[in-house]
Amino acid sequence: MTKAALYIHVPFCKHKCNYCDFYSITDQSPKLKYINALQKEIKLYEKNPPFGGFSFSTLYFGGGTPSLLSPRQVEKIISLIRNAFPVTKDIEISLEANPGTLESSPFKDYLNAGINRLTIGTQSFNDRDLKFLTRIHSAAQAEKAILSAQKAGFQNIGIDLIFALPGQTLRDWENNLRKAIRLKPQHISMYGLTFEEGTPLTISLRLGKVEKCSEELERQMYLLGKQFLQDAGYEHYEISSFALPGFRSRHNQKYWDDSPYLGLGPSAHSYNGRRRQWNVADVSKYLQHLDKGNLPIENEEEISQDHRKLELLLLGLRRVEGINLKHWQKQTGCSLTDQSKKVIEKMGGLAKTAPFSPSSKGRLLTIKNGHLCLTREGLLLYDTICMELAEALD
Amino acid sequence: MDQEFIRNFCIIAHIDHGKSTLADRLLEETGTLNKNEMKDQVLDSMDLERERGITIKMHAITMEYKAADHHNYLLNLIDTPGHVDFNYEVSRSLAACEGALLIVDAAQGIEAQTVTNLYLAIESDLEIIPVINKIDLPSAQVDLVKNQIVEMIGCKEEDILLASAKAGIGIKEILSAIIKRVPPPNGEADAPLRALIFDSMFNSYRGALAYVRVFEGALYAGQQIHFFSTGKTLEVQEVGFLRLQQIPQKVLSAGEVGYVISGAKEVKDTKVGDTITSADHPATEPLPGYRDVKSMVYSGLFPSDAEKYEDLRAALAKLKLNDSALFYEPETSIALGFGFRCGFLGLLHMEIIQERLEREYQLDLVTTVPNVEFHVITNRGEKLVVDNPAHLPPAGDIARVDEPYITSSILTPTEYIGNIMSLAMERRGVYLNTEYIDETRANLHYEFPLAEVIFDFYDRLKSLTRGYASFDYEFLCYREGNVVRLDILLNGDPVDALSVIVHKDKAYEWGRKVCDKLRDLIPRQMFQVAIQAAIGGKIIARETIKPLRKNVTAKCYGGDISRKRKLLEKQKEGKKRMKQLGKVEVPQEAFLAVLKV
Ligand SMILES: Nc1nc2c(ncn2[C@@H]2O[C@H](COP(=O)(O)OP(=O)(O)O)[C@@H](O)[C@H]2O)c(=O)[nH]1
Ligand code: SF4
Repeated sequence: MTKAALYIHVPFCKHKCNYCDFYSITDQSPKLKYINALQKEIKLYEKNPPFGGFSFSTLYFGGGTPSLLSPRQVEKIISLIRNAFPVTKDIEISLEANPGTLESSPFKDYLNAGINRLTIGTQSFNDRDLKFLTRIHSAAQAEKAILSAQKAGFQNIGIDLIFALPGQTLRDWENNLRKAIRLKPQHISMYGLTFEEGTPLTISLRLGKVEKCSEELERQMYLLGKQFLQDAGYEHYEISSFALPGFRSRHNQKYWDDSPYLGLGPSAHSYNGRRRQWNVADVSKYLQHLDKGNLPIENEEEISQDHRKLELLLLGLRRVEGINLKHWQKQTGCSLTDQSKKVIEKMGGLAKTAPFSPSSKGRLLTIKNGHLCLTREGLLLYDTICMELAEALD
Repeated sequence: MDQEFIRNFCIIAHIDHGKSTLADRLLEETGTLNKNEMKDQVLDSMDLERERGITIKMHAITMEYKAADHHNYLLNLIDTPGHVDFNYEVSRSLAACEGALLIVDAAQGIEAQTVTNLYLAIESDLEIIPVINKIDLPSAQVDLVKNQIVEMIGCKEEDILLASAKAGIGIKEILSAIIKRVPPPNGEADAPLRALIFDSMFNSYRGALAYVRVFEGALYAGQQIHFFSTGKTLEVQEVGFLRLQQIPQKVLSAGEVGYVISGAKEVKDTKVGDTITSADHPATEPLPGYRDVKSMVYSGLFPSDAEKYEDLRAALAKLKLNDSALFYEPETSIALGFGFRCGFLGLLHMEIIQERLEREYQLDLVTTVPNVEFHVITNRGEKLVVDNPAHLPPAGDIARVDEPYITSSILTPTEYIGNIMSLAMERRGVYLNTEYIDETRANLHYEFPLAEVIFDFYDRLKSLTRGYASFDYEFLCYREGNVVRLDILLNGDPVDALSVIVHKDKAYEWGRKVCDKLRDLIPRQMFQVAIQAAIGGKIIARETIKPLRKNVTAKCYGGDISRKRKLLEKQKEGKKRMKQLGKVEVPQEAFLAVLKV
């Protein structure tokens, strides 16, 4: 039976970071009501098992700032979930923690509550960067959080790093990477700073108050990060994700390999392979819906065959495994290699190297064991390649 | 009707000086339309015209009026278009009249187009009745405008009527002046038929409707008629007067104005300016002044979506039914695929056609840079007519190129003369003279290469004179021109749709600007794109579009997937609308943008 992923969105933050477009609010007063409503949402799905009773092999507390929930609250939610749905024995239970919320060092308690994977939203080990990003914590706090979590017994810790900040130099970034590697987290995600629509950061950009890092520098930073992390033994398994062997994020991989997922909490999305639905991105509406005993769904969409192709493309190319060509044929009834032959030629043809590795003549794509994958050069142009291939599909 | 009781007149006015409003008042006063039927400004009925405030297509209307002498008069008001592109049409409708109302805005005074049309009217021997309109405006400067008019046409001050079309002041006086001052027609009723076509219209049920003024003889249903210019003979199906509807009559006799339906299928069979005579008793000579309308400006029109080619053809064919000045023939471009090379009277005419195609026929078009028609003499002595840059022979084969010139008048407040002179110099203008209308206004006469005024000349003129100057022109002749073909190359391949024929001295600037524009408009691609401007083999300008270096969506988790997919769908749509030139993808806007360099 297919194993599904379960996501819980915790929509509270102490402060809204200037670059962030996740749904969250800074008024934490409805927190208890939210937990209550979340229970109701779980109950509703329990009565009416989603997508025909999948069992869940991952549970992920994301946000927002899930570490604003106490270990007791987390424990309670986990036990509700375990009662409501079939879960696998080895279920991965992750929690995103913000270093600015961990003064009381609650790591042991989270561990006891059932969390077995912690991701610590570090972003940078440089206070100037953290200030620029309007994060609520210092580099020292982040470092301390990681060390304390390790000491408390967490054996699967992930951290996030952001690069390509305005004014950041290659040397700054290198220092960041060194620090990260020295702390030996099991998982490192590194993201190029994205200017999301409507965020204060993007507004500053439009107003000319901040200047984007050059594309050339961003490229070099990405390549440097990749090199550094791989040299330190991390496996590059998704565009932005690196893990020590055996420590990939099982939860995130569910998204990328087109598995079903159930999302609970405001703004969370769910997907069963045919349909995607999403909850209202509004705490009070979320509470209202559940008060009335309704699911807090804002809308849903049917995933048509054409949608499906685009999604398989977008998701598959992110992974080092690439797109399984046989699976593609089975899913869509067409041959991706035939359809994309011309574009691939136009883009310089296929490389002979392994996925995500350097290719000769800067070739962008490679086929390995029946999977279509990006090369290292291809990673850098993921968006453009998706568009080229997407166009070839019709 | 006895010719003594017929008056044929038109209105000469600058846009917005109140022609339509005054026409409404006249129709109302004569009871031609009652208040209920009265729609504002009945004379311009097309939307597009109304928006632009110009009458593109003339119409005519007959009013019946019981004058102070207790006689019933037939007053035929013939409308005239008000833009330089339609000079010839104006001259034909003036030719159908004996008199003209000259309407001048009391606050604005006389403008250049009015002057040109006024001279046309004076040349046609029309009785001019000057009317100062909008005297109700607080800003009215009646005395000043009176002086202007006196200077212009040498009339007496007492001859000038004062009116407010809006407030209904002076309307009766205008009607009585028309009856008293405009001479009645005096053609021979028994002579062989000669009728002037001053406009024609296509009607999907009845074919081409000719609007005519009968000068001599009579026109009646069943008559075999002969068209002088086309040489065709057809049978009259119906004649009649023009009211809001057509009112069929047995006969249109000398001096009268009305319509003829004769089984002509398209307006090209009923050409403006042509003379209709009787096939059985033909006149020996046509009425004077007929000219074959010629396109002055050419441009390629291509459907953005190649599948719409047939739709574009059908739409052009439909427009052509009603517009004999529109010319088109199939054209193929390597860059833009299948389309049509179209000829227009001028830029306004071009814009109107493009807008109608887009609005009325829902076509999305890519237009190439407009150009004039060049006459090329090759070294072998052949003479070629070139209306498409792609067809200009290689420089080595050309002995000489002639380009069309226009003669123009620019009417302006004197304080802007300096500005205009520098603009004219920039545009290779040949100065003729300056006429001072009064202390504050002057009429500058210039000759220009037509090619120099088809690009944003009018807009520049307006902005240099804060909107006060007006401009009018007429074709003059062909003269030798020092022109070259400038090609635009993308990664070494010429893009035919971007080629232009320009004056040699301007080629560098043009090339630089186009390259610069294209650099901004062409999105970065996976490889470097070189944009070059070249004359013959020589590169005169170059820009480079750097290749994409990093273009990666950093995060894609559960909530992002739909959003990213939708974004991809949108980008895909955008990409479909791009033209693929070699390996380079060029957005359609790039072709439009070069129109604005
Ligand atoms: N104050 C005033 N406004 C007028 C008069 N006649 C016309 N207008 C206004 O001037 C504008 C242009 O008039 P219109 O008849 O459309 O001008 P056309 O472009 O010459 O046909 C309109 O807003 C009219 O209402 C008038 O006698 N007095
Ligand atoms: S803490 Fe995380 S979720 Fe909250 S605002 Fe900052 S980046 Fe966004």
